[in-house]
Amino acid sequence: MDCENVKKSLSLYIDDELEQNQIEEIEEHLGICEVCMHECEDLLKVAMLLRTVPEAPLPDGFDKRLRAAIRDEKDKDNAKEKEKEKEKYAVASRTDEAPVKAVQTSRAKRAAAARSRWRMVSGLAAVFVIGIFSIIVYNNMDVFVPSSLDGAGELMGAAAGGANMESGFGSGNDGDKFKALDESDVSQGADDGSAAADGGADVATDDVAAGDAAANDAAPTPQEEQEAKEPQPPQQEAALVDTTPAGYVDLGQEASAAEPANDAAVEANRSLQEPGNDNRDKLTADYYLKRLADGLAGYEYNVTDYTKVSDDLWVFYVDITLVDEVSEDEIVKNYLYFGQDGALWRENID
Amino acid sequence: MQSKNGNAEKNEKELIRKAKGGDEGSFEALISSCKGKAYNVALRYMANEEDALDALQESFIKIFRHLDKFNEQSRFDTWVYKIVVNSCNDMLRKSKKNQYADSVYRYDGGDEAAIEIVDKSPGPPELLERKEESAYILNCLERVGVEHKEILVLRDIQGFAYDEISEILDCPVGTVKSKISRARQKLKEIYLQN
Repeated sequence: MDCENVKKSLSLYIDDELEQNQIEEIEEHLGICEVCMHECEDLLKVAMLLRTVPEAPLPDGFDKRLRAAIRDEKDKDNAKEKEKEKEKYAVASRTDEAPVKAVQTSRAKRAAAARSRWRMVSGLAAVFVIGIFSIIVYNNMDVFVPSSLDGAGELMGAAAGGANMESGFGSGNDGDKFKALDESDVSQGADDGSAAADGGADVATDDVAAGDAAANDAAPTPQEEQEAKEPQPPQQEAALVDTTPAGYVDLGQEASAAEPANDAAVEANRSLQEPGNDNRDKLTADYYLKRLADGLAGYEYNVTDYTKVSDDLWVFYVDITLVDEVSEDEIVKNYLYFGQDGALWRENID
Repeated sequence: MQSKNGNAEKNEKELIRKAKGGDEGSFEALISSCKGKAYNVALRYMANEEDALDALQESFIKIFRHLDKFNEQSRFDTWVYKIVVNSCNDMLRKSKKNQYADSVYRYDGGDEAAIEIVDKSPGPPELLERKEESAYILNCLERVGVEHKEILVLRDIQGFAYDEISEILDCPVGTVKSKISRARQKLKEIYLQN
Protein backbone atom coordinates (compact mmCIF):
# COMPACT_ATOMS: atom_id res chain seq x y z
CA MET A 1 0.00 0.00 0.00
CA ASP A 2 1.38 3.39 -0.95
CA CYS A 3 1.49 6.51 1.20
CA GLU A 4 -1.54 8.16 -0.42
CA ASN A 5 -3.83 5.20 0.20
CA VAL A 6 -2.48 4.76 3.70
CA LYS A 7 -3.16 8.40 4.56
CA LYS A 8 -6.72 8.04 3.30
CA SER A 9 -7.29 5.01 5.53
CA LEU A 10 -5.64 6.30 8.72
CA SER A 11 -8.87 7.70 10.17
CA LEU A 12 -10.60 4.34 9.76
CA TYR A 13 -7.53 2.63 11.12
CA ILE A 14 -7.71 4.81 14.23
CA ASP A 15 -11.40 3.95 14.67
CA ASP A 16 -10.81 0.24 14.02
CA GLU A 17 -13.17 0.31 11.09
CA LEU A 18 -10.92 -1.67 8.69
CA GLU A 19 -10.72 -5.33 7.78
CA GLN A 20 -7.92 -7.29 9.30
CA ASN A 21 -5.93 -7.59 6.09
CA GLN A 22 -6.16 -3.83 5.58
CA ILE A 23 -4.95 -3.24 9.12
CA GLU A 24 -1.92 -5.48 8.52
CA GLU A 25 -1.04 -3.67 5.32
CA ILE A 26 -1.21 -0.30 6.99
CA GLU A 27 0.85 -1.40 9.98
CA GLU A 28 3.41 -2.86 7.64
CA HIS A 29 3.66 0.44 5.79
CA LEU A 30 3.76 2.49 8.96
CA GLY A 31 6.69 0.37 10.07
CA ILE A 32 8.75 1.56 7.15
CA CYS A 33 7.35 5.04 6.46
CA GLU A 34 8.03 7.78 9.03
CA VAL A 35 5.94 10.40 7.24
CA CYS A 36 2.82 8.27 7.33
CA MET A 37 3.68 7.29 10.91
CA HIS A 38 3.75 10.98 12.01
CA GLU A 39 0.55 11.62 10.12
CA CYS A 40 -1.11 8.79 11.97
CA GLU A 41 0.15 10.08 15.32
CA ASP A 42 -1.17 13.60 14.71
CA LEU A 43 -4.59 12.34 13.70
CA LEU A 44 -4.77 10.14 16.71
CA LYS A 45 -3.83 13.01 19.01
CA VAL A 46 -6.51 15.41 17.85
CA ALA A 47 -9.08 12.65 17.98
CA MET A 48 -8.01 11.75 21.50
CA LEU A 49 -8.04 15.38 22.56
CA LEU A 50 -11.64 15.66 21.46
CA ARG A 51 -12.51 12.43 23.18
CA THR A 52 -11.08 13.68 26.43
CA VAL A 53 -13.06 16.90 26.44
CA PRO A 54 -15.03 16.47 29.64
CA GLU A 55 -18.72 16.03 29.47
CA ALA A 56 -20.50 19.05 30.85
CA PRO A 57 -23.21 18.35 33.37
CA LEU A 58 -26.68 19.54 32.63
CA PRO A 59 -27.15 22.76 34.56
CA ASP A 60 -29.43 22.64 37.55
CA GLY A 61 -32.84 23.94 37.00
CA PHE A 62 -33.07 22.71 33.44
CA ASP A 63 -35.64 20.09 34.38
CA LYS A 64 -37.81 22.70 36.02
CA ARG A 65 -37.37 25.03 33.10
CA LEU A 66 -38.31 22.28 30.66
CA ARG A 67 -41.34 21.27 32.70
CA ALA A 68 -42.60 24.86 32.73
CA ALA A 69 -41.96 25.20 29.03
CA ILE A 70 -43.91 22.05 28.27
CA ARG A 71 -46.83 23.24 30.35
CA ASP A 72 -46.78 26.56 28.57
CA GLU A 73 -46.94 24.74 25.31
CA LYS A 74 -49.85 22.65 26.51
CA ASP A 75 -51.66 25.77 27.69
CA LYS A 76 -51.09 27.37 24.32
CA ASP A 77 -52.42 24.31 22.61
CA ASN A 78 -55.50 24.31 24.83
CA ALA A 79 -56.05 27.99 24.14
CA LYS A 80 -55.77 27.35 20.42
CA GLU A 81 -58.22 24.52 20.71
CA LYS A 82 -60.66 26.76 22.54
CA GLU A 83 -60.27 29.40 19.89
CA LYS A 84 -60.96 26.86 17.23
CA GLU A 85 -64.03 25.73 19.12
CA LYS A 86 -65.22 29.31 19.38
CA GLU A 87 -64.68 29.86 15.73
CA LYS A 88 -66.44 26.63 14.98
CA TYR A 89 -69.35 27.72 17.10
CA ALA A 90 -69.40 31.16 15.53
CA VAL A 91 -69.31 29.64 12.08
CA ALA A 92 -72.02 27.24 13.10
CA SER A 93 -74.12 30.13 14.37
CA ARG A 94 -73.67 32.00 11.14
CA THR A 95 -74.39 28.95 9.12
CA ASP A 96 -77.51 28.37 11.25
CA GLU A 97 -78.84 31.59 9.81
CA ALA A 98 -77.63 30.70 6.41
CA PRO A 99 -79.74 27.57 6.27
CA VAL A 100 -82.79 29.58 7.34
CA LYS A 101 -82.19 32.15 4.68
CA ALA A 102 -81.36 29.43 2.26
CA VAL A 103 -84.65 27.74 3.14
CA GLN A 104 -86.52 31.00 2.75
CA THR A 105 -84.87 31.70 -0.55
CA SER A 106 -85.50 28.17 -1.58
CA ARG A 107 -89.17 28.47 -0.63
CA ALA A 108 -89.52 31.71 -2.55
CA LYS A 109 -87.89 30.15 -5.53
CA ARG A 110 -90.11 27.11 -5.30
CA ALA A 111 -93.16 29.34 -5.01
CA ALA A 112 -92.08 31.37 -8.02
CA ALA A 113 -91.38 28.21 -9.95
CA ALA A 114 -94.78 26.85 -8.95
CA ARG A 115 -96.48 30.02 -10.09
CA SER A 116 -94.59 29.90 -13.35
CA ARG A 117 -95.56 26.30 -13.87
CA TRP A 118 -99.18 27.12 -13.02
CA ARG A 119 -99.23 29.89 -15.56
CA MET A 120 -97.78 27.64 -18.15
CA VAL A 121 -100.24 24.89 -17.36
CA SER A 122 -103.12 27.35 -17.39
CA GLY A 123 -102.01 28.67 -20.74
CA LEU A 124 -101.71 25.23 -22.18
CA ALA A 125 -105.10 24.30 -20.81
CA ALA A 126 -106.66 27.37 -22.38
CA VAL A 127 -105.11 26.61 -25.74
CA PHE A 128 -106.26 23.03 -25.41
CA VAL A 129 -109.84 24.07 -24.65
CA ILE A 130 -109.92 26.48 -27.53
CA GLY A 131 -108.50 23.87 -29.81
CA ILE A 132 -111.07 21.27 -28.75
CA PHE A 133 -113.87 23.77 -29.16
CA SER A 134 -112.62 24.69 -32.57
CA ILE A 135 -112.47 21.07 -33.60
CA ILE A 136 -115.99 20.46 -32.34
CA VAL A 137 -117.32 23.44 -34.18
CA TYR A 138 -115.37 22.58 -37.23
CA ASN A 139 -116.47 18.99 -37.31
CA ASN A 140 -120.07 20.03 -37.22
CA MET A 141 -119.81 22.33 -40.14
CA ASP A 142 -120.76 20.91 -43.44
CA VAL A 143 -120.41 23.93 -45.59
CA PHE A 144 -117.35 22.65 -47.27
CA VAL A 145 -119.06 19.75 -48.69
CA PRO A 146 -120.60 20.88 -51.87
CA SER A 147 -123.85 19.09 -51.25
CA SER A 148 -125.43 22.23 -52.54
CA LEU A 149 -124.46 21.31 -56.01
CA ASP A 150 -128.16 21.52 -56.22
CA GLY A 151 -127.68 25.15 -55.51
CA ALA A 152 -127.94 25.00 -51.79
CA GLY A 153 -125.11 27.18 -50.58
CA GLU A 154 -123.99 26.22 -47.14
CA LEU A 155 -123.22 28.69 -44.54
CA MET A 156 -120.36 28.37 -42.15
CA GLY A 157 -120.54 30.51 -39.13
CA ALA A 158 -122.00 33.05 -41.38
CA ALA A 159 -123.80 35.06 -38.76
CA ALA A 160 -121.12 37.62 -38.35
CA GLY A 161 -119.98 37.14 -41.89
CA GLY A 162 -123.36 37.83 -43.32
CA ALA A 163 -123.86 40.80 -41.11
CA ASN A 164 -120.48 42.23 -41.93
CA MET A 165 -120.66 41.83 -45.58
CA GLU A 166 -119.94 44.89 -47.49
CA SER A 167 -122.78 46.56 -49.21
CA GLY A 168 -121.42 45.30 -52.44
CA PHE A 169 -122.05 41.86 -51.24
CA GLY A 170 -125.02 42.46 -49.08
CA SER A 171 -126.76 39.99 -46.86
CA GLY A 172 -127.60 36.46 -47.46
CA ASN A 173 -130.41 37.45 -49.70
CA ASP A 174 -128.08 39.53 -51.66
CA GLY A 175 -126.01 36.47 -52.05
CA ASP A 176 -128.17 35.80 -55.03
CA LYS A 177 -126.12 38.34 -56.75
CA PHE A 178 -123.04 36.29 -56.27
CA LYS A 179 -123.26 33.79 -58.89
CA ALA A 180 -121.27 30.71 -58.24
CA LEU A 181 -120.87 29.17 -61.57
CA ASP A 182 -123.38 26.48 -61.89
CA GLU A 183 -123.79 23.95 -64.53
CA SER A 184 -125.54 26.35 -66.79
CA ASP A 185 -122.42 28.38 -66.98
CA VAL A 186 -120.22 25.42 -67.54
CA SER A 187 -119.70 24.11 -70.93
CA GLN A 188 -119.35 20.43 -71.38
CA GLY A 189 -115.79 19.40 -71.00
CA ALA A 190 -112.99 20.71 -68.96
CA ASP A 191 -112.00 23.30 -71.44
CA ASP A 192 -114.72 25.50 -70.37
CA GLY A 193 -113.64 25.25 -66.82
CA SER A 194 -111.15 28.00 -67.07
CA ALA A 195 -113.44 30.09 -69.19
CA ALA A 196 -116.13 29.50 -66.70
CA ALA A 197 -113.71 30.37 -63.96
CA ASP A 198 -112.83 33.51 -65.70
CA GLY A 199 -116.43 34.12 -66.29
CA GLY A 200 -117.09 33.40 -62.73
CA ALA A 201 -114.35 35.70 -61.69
CA ASP A 202 -115.68 38.31 -63.98
CA VAL A 203 -119.08 37.76 -62.63
CA ALA A 204 -117.79 38.13 -59.14
CA THR A 205 -115.82 41.19 -60.07
CA ASP A 206 -118.68 42.65 -61.94
CA ASP A 207 -120.85 41.90 -59.05
CA VAL A 208 -118.53 43.67 -56.72
CA ALA A 209 -118.49 46.65 -58.98
CA ALA A 210 -122.14 46.47 -59.59
CA GLY A 211 -123.02 45.53 -56.12
CA ASP A 212 -123.60 49.02 -54.97
CA ALA A 213 -125.51 49.88 -58.08
CA ALA A 214 -127.56 46.76 -57.82
CA ALA A 215 -128.19 47.37 -54.20
CA ASN A 216 -129.19 50.89 -54.91
CA ASP A 217 -131.22 50.15 -57.92
CA ALA A 218 -133.21 47.23 -56.61
CA ALA A 219 -136.19 48.07 -54.56
CA PRO A 220 -135.79 46.45 -51.17
CA THR A 221 -138.49 44.14 -50.06
CA PRO A 222 -139.88 44.47 -46.57
CA GLN A 223 -138.01 41.45 -45.59
CA GLU A 224 -134.85 42.88 -46.97
CA GLU A 225 -135.41 46.11 -45.19
CA GLN A 226 -135.83 44.30 -41.96
CA GLU A 227 -132.76 42.23 -42.48
CA ALA A 228 -130.80 45.27 -43.39
CA LYS A 229 -131.76 46.80 -40.12
CA GLU A 230 -131.15 43.66 -38.16
CA PRO A 231 -128.20 41.82 -39.52
CA GLN A 232 -128.93 38.19 -39.57
CA PRO A 233 -127.00 35.23 -40.65
CA PRO A 234 -127.65 34.40 -44.24
CA GLN A 235 -130.54 32.02 -44.47
CA GLN A 236 -129.66 28.78 -45.85
CA GLU A 237 -132.84 28.46 -47.83
CA ALA A 238 -132.41 31.88 -49.33
CA ALA A 239 -129.06 30.97 -50.66
CA LEU A 240 -129.65 27.43 -51.47
CA VAL A 241 -130.75 26.56 -54.86
CA ASP A 242 -130.47 23.08 -55.94
CA THR A 243 -128.46 23.14 -59.08
CA THR A 244 -127.12 19.71 -58.79
CA PRO A 245 -127.62 18.06 -62.08
CA ALA A 246 -129.24 14.77 -61.99
CA GLY A 247 -126.88 11.99 -61.67
CA TYR A 248 -124.18 13.95 -60.08
CA VAL A 249 -122.80 12.64 -56.95
CA ASP A 250 -124.09 14.49 -54.03
CA LEU A 251 -121.40 14.81 -51.62
CA GLY A 252 -121.42 15.94 -48.11
CA GLN A 253 -125.17 16.13 -47.62
CA GLU A 254 -124.65 15.56 -43.99
CA ALA A 255 -122.99 18.85 -43.58
CA SER A 256 -125.97 20.92 -44.35
CA ALA A 257 -126.86 22.82 -41.27
CA ALA A 258 -125.76 26.33 -40.91
CA GLU A 259 -123.40 26.64 -38.14
CA PRO A 260 -123.34 29.34 -35.64
CA ALA A 261 -120.52 31.73 -35.75
CA ASN A 262 -117.26 30.22 -34.66
CA ASP A 263 -116.26 32.73 -32.09
CA ALA A 264 -112.88 31.30 -31.57
CA ALA A 265 -112.14 31.24 -35.27
CA VAL A 266 -113.47 34.75 -35.62
CA GLU A 267 -111.26 35.85 -32.80
CA ALA A 268 -108.29 34.11 -34.32
CA ASN A 269 -108.93 35.70 -37.64
CA ARG A 270 -109.48 39.08 -36.11
CA SER A 271 -106.21 38.82 -34.29
CA LEU A 272 -104.54 38.26 -37.59
CA GLN A 273 -105.99 41.42 -38.96
CA GLU A 274 -104.59 43.82 -36.50
CA PRO A 275 -103.59 47.03 -38.21
CA GLY A 276 -99.99 47.05 -39.21
CA ASN A 277 -99.61 43.28 -39.53
CA ASP A 278 -97.92 42.96 -42.84
CA ASN A 279 -98.25 39.23 -42.89
CA ARG A 280 -101.79 39.11 -41.75
CA ASP A 281 -103.19 38.86 -45.24
CA LYS A 282 -101.06 35.88 -45.96
CA LEU A 283 -101.90 34.30 -42.69
CA THR A 284 -105.58 34.95 -43.20
CA ALA A 285 -105.54 33.55 -46.70
CA ASP A 286 -103.65 30.51 -45.50
CA TYR A 287 -106.17 30.02 -42.79
CA TYR A 288 -109.12 30.01 -45.17
CA LEU A 289 -107.31 27.84 -47.66
CA LYS A 290 -106.65 25.37 -44.90
CA ARG A 291 -110.32 25.39 -44.02
CA LEU A 292 -111.13 24.81 -47.66
CA ALA A 293 -108.72 21.92 -47.84
CA ASP A 294 -110.19 20.33 -44.76
CA GLY A 295 -113.71 20.81 -45.96
CA LEU A 296 -113.07 19.59 -49.47
CA ALA A 297 -111.02 16.60 -48.41
CA GLY A 298 -111.88 13.83 -50.82
CA TYR A 299 -112.78 16.17 -53.63
CA GLU A 300 -110.67 17.15 -56.52
CA TYR A 301 -110.64 20.87 -56.44
CA ASN A 302 -108.58 23.80 -57.45
CA VAL A 303 -108.52 27.26 -55.97
CA THR A 304 -108.07 29.28 -59.07
CA ASP A 305 -107.94 32.61 -57.36
CA TYR A 306 -108.67 34.38 -54.19
CA THR A 307 -108.77 37.95 -53.19
CA LYS A 308 -109.37 40.20 -50.30
CA VAL A 309 -112.27 42.38 -51.11
CA SER A 310 -112.35 44.35 -47.88
CA ASP A 311 -110.60 44.49 -44.55
CA ASP A 312 -112.17 41.31 -43.37
CA LEU A 313 -113.83 39.72 -46.37
CA TRP A 314 -112.17 37.26 -48.62
CA VAL A 315 -113.49 35.49 -51.66
CA PHE A 316 -112.13 32.25 -53.07
CA TYR A 317 -112.75 30.93 -56.53
CA VAL A 318 -112.82 27.18 -56.42
CA ASP A 319 -113.20 24.67 -59.20
CA ILE A 320 -114.52 21.35 -58.04
CA THR A 321 -114.39 18.28 -60.21
CA LEU A 322 -117.50 16.16 -60.06
CA VAL A 323 -118.13 12.74 -61.55
CA ASP A 324 -121.30 11.80 -63.31
CA GLU A 325 -122.65 8.74 -61.69
CA VAL A 326 -123.93 7.26 -64.85
CA SER A 327 -121.58 8.38 -67.52
CA GLU A 328 -118.69 8.72 -65.22
CA ASP A 329 -117.84 11.89 -66.98
CA GLU A 330 -115.97 14.50 -65.05
CA ILE A 331 -117.24 17.98 -64.89
CA VAL A 332 -115.72 20.95 -63.22
CA LYS A 333 -117.95 23.30 -61.43
CA ASN A 334 -116.97 26.69 -60.14
CA TYR A 335 -117.86 27.97 -56.78
CA LEU A 336 -117.31 31.03 -54.71
CA TYR A 337 -116.33 30.70 -51.12
CA PHE A 338 -116.31 33.60 -48.75
CA GLY A 339 -114.25 34.08 -45.69
CA GLN A 340 -114.93 36.60 -43.01
CA ASP A 341 -114.10 36.75 -39.30
CA GLY A 342 -112.87 33.23 -39.40
CA ALA A 343 -116.00 31.88 -41.00
CA LEU A 344 -116.00 30.31 -44.41
CA TRP A 345 -119.06 29.65 -46.49
CA ARG A 346 -120.24 29.02 -49.96
CA GLU A 347 -123.10 30.63 -51.59
CA ASN A 348 -124.85 29.69 -54.66
CA ILE A 349 -126.80 31.88 -56.69
CA ASP A 350 -129.64 30.82 -58.72
CA MET B 1 -28.03 -9.24 30.20
CA GLN B 2 -30.29 -9.96 27.47
CA SER B 3 -33.26 -10.07 29.75
CA LYS B 4 -32.07 -6.83 31.34
CA ASN B 5 -31.88 -5.20 27.97
CA GLY B 6 -35.20 -6.75 27.11
CA ASN B 7 -36.76 -5.26 30.24
CA ALA B 8 -35.19 -1.89 29.53
CA GLU B 9 -36.58 -1.98 26.04
CA LYS B 10 -39.97 -2.99 27.33
CA ASN B 11 -39.91 -0.18 29.84
CA GLU B 12 -38.91 2.29 27.21
CA LYS B 13 -41.80 1.22 25.00
CA GLU B 14 -44.19 1.60 27.90
CA LEU B 15 -42.85 5.05 28.68
CA ILE B 16 -43.17 6.01 25.06
CA ARG B 17 -46.75 4.82 24.99
CA LYS B 18 -47.66 6.83 28.06
CA ALA B 19 -45.77 9.89 26.93
CA LYS B 20 -47.61 9.77 23.62
CA GLY B 21 -50.78 10.01 25.64
CA GLY B 22 -49.53 13.29 27.13
CA ASP B 23 -48.12 11.94 30.40
CA GLU B 24 -45.40 14.42 31.37
CA GLY B 25 -43.91 12.14 34.02
CA SER B 26 -43.38 9.37 31.50
CA PHE B 27 -41.82 11.84 29.14
CA GLU B 28 -39.36 13.04 31.76
CA ALA B 29 -38.43 9.46 32.55
CA LEU B 30 -38.02 8.74 28.88
CA ILE B 31 -35.53 11.53 28.30
CA SER B 32 -33.68 11.20 31.57
CA SER B 33 -31.08 8.74 30.17
CA CYS B 34 -30.16 10.81 27.13
CA LYS B 35 -30.66 14.40 28.16
CA GLY B 36 -27.11 14.78 29.47
CA LYS B 37 -25.53 13.61 26.26
CA ALA B 38 -28.03 15.61 24.27
CA TYR B 39 -26.98 18.70 26.16
CA ASN B 40 -23.31 18.09 25.39
CA VAL B 41 -24.08 17.66 21.72
CA ALA B 42 -25.87 20.99 21.80
CA LEU B 43 -23.07 22.56 23.85
CA ARG B 44 -20.35 21.52 21.39
CA TYR B 45 -22.48 22.67 18.50
CA MET B 46 -23.40 26.06 19.92
CA ALA B 47 -20.19 26.61 21.91
CA ASN B 48 -22.33 28.57 24.32
CA GLU B 49 -24.19 27.30 27.39
CA GLU B 50 -27.24 29.54 27.07
CA ASP B 51 -27.67 28.82 23.40
CA ALA B 52 -27.15 25.14 24.09
CA LEU B 53 -29.90 25.14 26.75
CA ASP B 54 -32.26 26.98 24.45
CA ALA B 55 -31.57 24.49 21.68
CA LEU B 56 -32.03 21.62 24.09
CA GLN B 57 -35.31 22.94 25.45
CA GLU B 58 -36.62 23.58 22.00
CA SER B 59 -35.59 20.07 20.99
CA PHE B 60 -37.40 18.44 23.91
CA ILE B 61 -40.55 20.44 23.30
CA LYS B 62 -40.49 19.33 19.69
CA ILE B 63 -40.00 15.75 20.85
CA PHE B 64 -42.91 16.02 23.29
CA ARG B 65 -45.23 17.50 20.69
CA HIS B 66 -44.30 15.13 17.91
CA LEU B 67 -43.78 11.97 19.88
CA ASP B 68 -46.45 10.31 17.80
CA LYS B 69 -44.14 10.61 14.80
CA PHE B 70 -41.41 8.58 16.47
CA ASN B 71 -40.72 5.44 14.52
CA GLU B 72 -40.31 2.85 17.23
CA GLN B 73 -38.24 0.68 14.96
CA SER B 74 -35.19 2.91 15.70
CA ARG B 75 -33.66 3.82 19.01
CA PHE B 76 -35.29 6.61 20.95
CA ASP B 77 -32.08 8.33 22.04
CA THR B 78 -30.75 8.34 18.47
CA TRP B 79 -33.97 10.06 17.44
CA VAL B 80 -33.45 12.59 20.23
CA TYR B 81 -29.88 13.40 19.12
CA LYS B 82 -31.06 13.80 15.58
CA ILE B 83 -33.60 16.39 16.64
CA VAL B 84 -31.01 18.15 18.77
CA VAL B 85 -28.53 18.35 15.86
CA ASN B 86 -31.25 19.72 13.60
CA SER B 87 -32.36 22.27 16.17
CA CYS B 88 -28.77 23.42 16.64
CA ASN B 89 -28.26 23.79 12.91
CA ASP B 90 -31.49 25.76 12.67
CA MET B 91 -30.44 28.08 15.42
CA LEU B 92 -26.99 28.58 13.91
CA ARG B 93 -28.56 29.45 10.57
CA LYS B 94 -30.97 31.87 12.17
CA SER B 95 -28.36 33.60 14.28
CA LYS B 96 -25.89 33.64 11.35
CA LYS B 97 -23.10 33.24 13.76
CA ASN B 98 -19.57 33.11 12.51
CA GLN B 99 -18.09 29.83 13.69
CA TYR B 100 -14.92 31.67 14.53
CA ALA B 101 -16.49 34.48 16.53
CA ASP B 102 -16.95 34.87 20.24
CA SER B 103 -16.31 31.33 21.15
CA VAL B 104 -15.89 30.48 24.80
CA TYR B 105 -13.10 28.24 23.64
CA ARG B 106 -10.87 31.20 22.88
CA TYR B 107 -7.25 30.32 23.35
CA ASP B 108 -5.01 33.19 24.27
CA GLY B 109 -1.73 31.46 24.01
CA GLY B 110 -1.72 29.39 27.11
CA ASP B 111 -2.06 31.96 29.88
CA GLU B 112 -5.76 31.58 30.34
CA ALA B 113 -8.31 29.07 29.26
CA ALA B 114 -11.73 30.75 28.96
CA ILE B 115 -13.88 27.67 29.22
CA GLU B 116 -16.95 28.11 31.40
CA ILE B 117 -17.61 24.50 31.82
CA VAL B 118 -14.16 23.69 33.12
CA ASP B 119 -13.47 23.76 36.73
CA LYS B 120 -11.20 26.69 37.28
CA SER B 121 -10.00 25.57 40.64
CA PRO B 122 -6.27 24.95 40.70
CA GLY B 123 -5.17 21.37 40.40
CA PRO B 124 -2.27 19.18 39.37
CA PRO B 125 -0.19 20.39 36.38
CA GLU B 126 -1.33 17.46 34.31
CA LEU B 127 -4.92 18.41 34.82
CA LEU B 128 -4.17 22.05 34.01
CA GLU B 129 -2.33 20.99 30.91
CA ARG B 130 -5.22 18.85 29.92
CA LYS B 131 -7.58 21.70 30.45
CA GLU B 132 -5.46 23.94 28.31
CA GLU B 133 -5.25 21.37 25.66
CA SER B 134 -9.00 20.84 25.74
CA ALA B 135 -9.57 24.52 25.47
CA TYR B 136 -7.14 24.72 22.63
CA ILE B 137 -8.63 21.80 20.69
CA LEU B 138 -12.10 23.13 21.18
CA ASN B 139 -10.90 26.44 19.90
CA CYS B 140 -9.46 24.69 16.88
CA LEU B 141 -12.78 22.90 16.52
CA GLU B 142 -14.48 26.24 16.08
CA ARG B 143 -12.26 26.92 13.10
CA VAL B 144 -12.76 23.78 11.04
CA GLY B 145 -16.12 24.81 9.64
CA VAL B 146 -19.68 23.81 10.51
CA GLU B 147 -19.77 20.59 8.54
CA HIS B 148 -16.43 19.29 9.89
CA LYS B 149 -17.32 20.38 13.38
CA GLU B 150 -20.60 18.50 13.26
CA ILE B 151 -19.03 15.14 12.43
CA LEU B 152 -16.19 15.62 14.91
CA VAL B 153 -18.63 16.47 17.75
CA LEU B 154 -20.66 13.37 17.06
CA ARG B 155 -17.76 11.01 16.48
CA ASP B 156 -14.87 12.15 18.61
CA ILE B 157 -16.52 14.17 21.39
CA GLN B 158 -19.72 12.19 21.87
CA GLY B 159 -18.41 8.87 20.65
CA PHE B 160 -21.32 7.86 18.47
CA ALA B 161 -20.75 4.85 16.27
CA TYR B 162 -20.61 5.22 12.51
CA ASP B 163 -24.07 3.68 12.04
CA GLU B 164 -25.52 5.96 14.73
CA ILE B 165 -24.02 8.99 13.04
CA SER B 166 -25.44 7.71 9.76
CA GLU B 167 -28.90 7.64 11.35
CA ILE B 168 -28.55 11.01 13.09
CA LEU B 169 -27.33 12.80 9.98
CA ASP B 170 -29.49 10.73 7.70
CA CYS B 171 -26.65 9.85 5.34
CA PRO B 172 -24.87 6.63 4.28
CA VAL B 173 -22.13 5.13 6.43
CA GLY B 174 -19.62 5.55 3.63
CA THR B 175 -20.32 9.26 3.64
CA VAL B 176 -19.81 9.33 7.40
CA LYS B 177 -16.37 7.68 7.02
CA SER B 178 -15.18 10.13 4.40
CA LYS B 179 -16.54 13.04 6.41
CA ILE B 180 -14.66 11.94 9.49
CA SER B 181 -11.44 11.51 7.56
CA ARG B 182 -11.62 14.96 6.00
CA ALA B 183 -12.69 16.62 9.26
CA ARG B 184 -9.78 15.14 11.22
CA GLN B 185 -7.33 16.18 8.54
CA LYS B 186 -8.59 19.72 8.73
CA LEU B 187 -8.52 19.80 12.52
CA LYS B 188 -4.99 18.45 12.51
CA GLU B 189 -3.82 21.16 10.15
CA ILE B 190 -5.34 23.87 12.35
CA TYR B 191 -4.05 22.26 15.49
CA LEU B 192 -0.51 22.10 14.14
CA GLN B 193 -0.52 25.71 12.97
CA ASN B 194 -0.06 26.85 16.50
